[in-house]
Amino acid sequence: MTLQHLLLKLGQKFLQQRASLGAIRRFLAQQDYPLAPPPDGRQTRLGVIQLEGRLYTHAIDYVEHIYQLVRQAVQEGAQLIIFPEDTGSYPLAGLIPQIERLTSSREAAPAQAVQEGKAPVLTLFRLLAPAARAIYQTTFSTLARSFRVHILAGSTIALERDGRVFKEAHLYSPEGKPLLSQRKTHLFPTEAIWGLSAGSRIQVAHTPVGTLAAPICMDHTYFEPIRIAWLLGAEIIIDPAADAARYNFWLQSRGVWGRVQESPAYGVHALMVGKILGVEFGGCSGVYAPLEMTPARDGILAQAHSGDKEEILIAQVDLEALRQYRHEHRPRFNLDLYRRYIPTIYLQVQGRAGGRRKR
Amino acid sequence: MNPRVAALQTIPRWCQQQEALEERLLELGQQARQKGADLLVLPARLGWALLGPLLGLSLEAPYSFQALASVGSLAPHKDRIEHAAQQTIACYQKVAEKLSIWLVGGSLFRLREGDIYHATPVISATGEIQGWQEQTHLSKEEEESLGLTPGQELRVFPTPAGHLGILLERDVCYPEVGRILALLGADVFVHQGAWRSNNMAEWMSRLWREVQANQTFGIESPLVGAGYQGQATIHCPCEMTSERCGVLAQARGEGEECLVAELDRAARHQVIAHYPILAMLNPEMYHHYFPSLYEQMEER
Repeated sequence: MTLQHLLLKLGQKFLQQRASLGAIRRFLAQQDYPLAPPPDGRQTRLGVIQLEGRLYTHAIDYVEHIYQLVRQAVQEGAQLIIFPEDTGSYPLAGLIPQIERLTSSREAAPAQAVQEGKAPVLTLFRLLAPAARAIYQTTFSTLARSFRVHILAGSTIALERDGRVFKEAHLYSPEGKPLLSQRKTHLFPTEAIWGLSAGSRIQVAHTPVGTLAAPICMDHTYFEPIRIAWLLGAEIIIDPAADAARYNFWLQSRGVWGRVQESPAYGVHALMVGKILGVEFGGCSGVYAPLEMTPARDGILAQAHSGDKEEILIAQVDLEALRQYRHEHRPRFNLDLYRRYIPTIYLQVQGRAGGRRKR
Repeated sequence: MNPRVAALQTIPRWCQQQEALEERLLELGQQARQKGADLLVLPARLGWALLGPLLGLSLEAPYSFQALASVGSLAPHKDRIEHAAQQTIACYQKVAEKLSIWLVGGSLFRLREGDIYHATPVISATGEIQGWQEQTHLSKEEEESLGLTPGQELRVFPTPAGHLGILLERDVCYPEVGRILALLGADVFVHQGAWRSNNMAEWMSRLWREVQANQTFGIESPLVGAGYQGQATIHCPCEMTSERCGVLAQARGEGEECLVAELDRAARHQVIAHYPILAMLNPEMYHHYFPSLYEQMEER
């Protein structure tokens, strides 16, 4: 074991103690839990959490805030609650003592250092991963079981034995069991610079609230992961996201809104807002559908009121109507064409790009 | 120097004489030339103009798929299709040569190895045919009522305006087409549309979506009038425009209009340098799922 490895282990242990899972369990055990309405398999009421990102120095404050949000969504009838990307990572970075100092450099403040890849983000993720994951799993599993609700808990950090770090989103059943574990498969360039790794599988979960998939954030810039999810049967395609930018209608329309026009399904965009370490997050959470399935033929079923404030968006989606629509608008794929080019064309281009590829 | 491109939105009319079609196209194309365009894109189906009357449709008949389908399958009319195609292509060649402009002709029916395709020709400024792009995704009606065959190849055409990839009609709805074209090297997408409605969400869900997904330029040339709705538009990656809207120019009205815009290649390269979408793909993952998932879906 190298000294660096030893120090990492010590740091992880320190943060796990700081997370105080026992206190979290005691806190959660003392709360009251109105039950979510049971799903009927035909319609699903969604609770989309537009979460304000902030650093928590005490895990219990984080847990209490998450509890309040889930409770409010359940009280408004939500059967599936969706949190943004990084829900189980960035806010918990506050557990690391002097995180601001660790992420700044001589030349740059934390926001700039993080975004330019000058901060040791990968090391910090490795340090935080065991504690963040434990808090995340304990909190969301308990809340899902206690409220009897499905929760897509945004993403947390997955740390492999070989040191690779992934962003990973979990879906919890009303029994508190993990139903789906989705790793981000397409990284933002900054994440690639940090040294994060990309996942290589798309999962779907067949549940009473619909067949669900949850590729993460930038995955929705690419038609491929969404097409895969759709071909696997996904009816509600969730985009847990954290965009380090102010809300812009056009830029945001390049994501899940466009994807569900290509691969007809409901699209759910849950965004983080606010500032963490000076990095500003923005976006307007929403629930989308194929144009023909929305009253204004604009593809929008519901949208948050603001692009920079915490909100809970409640919307109902009609699974039966979607199934009917998909039956009537079955795509006419050209399999011979795809066999000719896919996936060979990607591999050829990858070969040509050689070392330029950053993944 | 950056190229200038023109997108035409025009009202379709059946036409009995090649000369009349040529005269009309010259008149419309002249505007593009005067505005300094290097390339002119005509709308989908414009090349049907001479075929309708040859099949017995009156000049007042609706300019539509349904009107053609009322004649029945096109298969028994291969001679007429061939004749109309030859006349139309000759007409396009003359227009390109006279205006000294590269032309993406309005789509027409084309016979190849005994099959009928809906296809778009690309013609150089000296009037030479550079090649064809056949529509690769057809509706059930197009296949069964008209007897069309879907194309099985996607091509990229080097032109002064860039490397063109053509997304004819509903090909634009299948993101596989745009991605393959972009990976083949297309940096300018051309969409020839014939749509019955066109609100903002609709045009955003078509070529705008493909342009953003592949960081190309986009030239959209639609039919208008006669039951068609559309807006000629020149698209680009959002980051190249001040409001981040991704629209360089867009027709204002519903009448005939020739829209011209300059394609700033350096600005596009800057956008790609900041976030190279095609360099961030995940081929290993696609290899795991494609094309078998499509095949499984078809079997279901």
